[in-house]
Amino acid sequence: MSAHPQHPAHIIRSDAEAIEVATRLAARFAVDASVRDRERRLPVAELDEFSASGLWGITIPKAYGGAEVSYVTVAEVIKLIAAADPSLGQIPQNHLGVVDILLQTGSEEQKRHYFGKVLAGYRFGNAFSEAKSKNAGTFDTQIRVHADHAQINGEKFYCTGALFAHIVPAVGTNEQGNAFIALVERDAPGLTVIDSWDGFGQRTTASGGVTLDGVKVPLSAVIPAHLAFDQPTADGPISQIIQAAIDTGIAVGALEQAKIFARQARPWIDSQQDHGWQDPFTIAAIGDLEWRVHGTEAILAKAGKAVDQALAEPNEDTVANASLIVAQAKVLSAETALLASSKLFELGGTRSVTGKHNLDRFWRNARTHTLHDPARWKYHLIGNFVLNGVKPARHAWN
Amino acid sequence: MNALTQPTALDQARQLLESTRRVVQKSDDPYVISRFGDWQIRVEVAAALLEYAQTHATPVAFTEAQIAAAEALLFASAAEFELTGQRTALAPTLEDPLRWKYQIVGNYHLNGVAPGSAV
Repeated sequence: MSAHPQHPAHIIRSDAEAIEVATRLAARFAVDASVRDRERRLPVAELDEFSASGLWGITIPKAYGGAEVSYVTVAEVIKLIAAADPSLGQIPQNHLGVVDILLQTGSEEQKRHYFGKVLAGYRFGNAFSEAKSKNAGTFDTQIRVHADHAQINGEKFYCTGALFAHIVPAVGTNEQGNAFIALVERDAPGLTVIDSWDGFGQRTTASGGVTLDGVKVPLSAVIPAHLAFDQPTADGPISQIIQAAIDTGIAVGALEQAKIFARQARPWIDSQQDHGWQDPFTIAAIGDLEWRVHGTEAILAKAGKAVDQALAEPNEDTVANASLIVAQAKVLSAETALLASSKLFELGGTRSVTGKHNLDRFWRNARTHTLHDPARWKYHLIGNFVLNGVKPARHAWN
Repeated sequence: MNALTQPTALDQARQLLESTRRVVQKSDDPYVISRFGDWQIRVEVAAALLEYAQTHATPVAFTEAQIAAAEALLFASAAEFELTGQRTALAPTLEDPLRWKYQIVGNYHLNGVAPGSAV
């Protein structure tokens, strides 16, 4: 992978254009999604098409030449792509997060430089999470800032997008324990991306490992990421709404297949009907899935509005409100994606589990992606505010 | 009047949440806390679907909002009893049953049959 895009990206100018482009791309990505999953064929050409479409630059502020779309639109775009291929929906999640961290904590010069690159089609990957540190919020990776450069050493995992990125943002902590991000060129000496992701779902995200062995970057490539959480900013809710949008997309995709296969199912002997789609229990089960999926979509849109408000007016209250509504979207999308991708087989019958359909990819993807951070703590986050008036903790998972 | 499918089902689910919250007051118990979180989600999703139905007149959008409100109220009634040991009485008839709302929504989305039309 080179450190530069092969073709310059189109620049999207409005929310409506973003939805239109995403709808068109999703239809193309849907065609081979099952084959890519089955063969674990990494979506190299699709990603080039995806970022060249301009969709990876839609959150760049107008002042820097972007469309600065609403997060209602961002969530809708990710949902549309994820409904077609949730691996492709997931790959930009950290890219979009990094764009916001740059907005929150980058210098004016850094914003101009990197936002210009994103609009030109550069993709950020990520080397954030670690499999061996104490918990998701702690890092063993060290960054040391010297007079004219910074150096970073460590071992990362779950590095979605790194394999296909032009720039790999890597997080490490300094001597004081504050987190900084180094924006490392993909071909920098000492940076190794390992295609080791073998999870049973989200198979073509290439969410493998990254090692950073004395990687040097100029100081202009270092941002004080910890500031995004020391003060109230929309960064946590932005990271989370993208997760919820991916799972909402999986639910939408699974429900579509559930209806196709329920229509084709044979009538059950006791139903005394001529066709499977006349089965009163099948009809009611589809009704149940429909309202749940639509409810999830409605909450996702509300979460997008709350994120917009937190971005426009960042303070303790707007950021807490965004975290709370995004948490609702996270719970509902996880529940609905898992439910729809399991009910799909119940309503399609035994023929729907045959290998040629590869319909298990919906459940495998839902089960895998919803593990990003546990929904069980989102019920707690919301309840703690309702009952005890406690605002959500500020970090990248709220 | 069926408490689950009347237009005020959502308001009632909210009122039970509020009255139960006043009884419980504060808690450190993670299971009690998350029960309130779950409850709030059921209320919010019903409210979101009602708002959607008021602005997007699809043939079954209101029915979907009714189901969400009914499920929120069923959750509320069970959670109230669980957390306070008491249960507020709800309007006790079986007219306009909830179970047929799922059929109406499903028949529209699966089979393209609009509510009220002959099958």
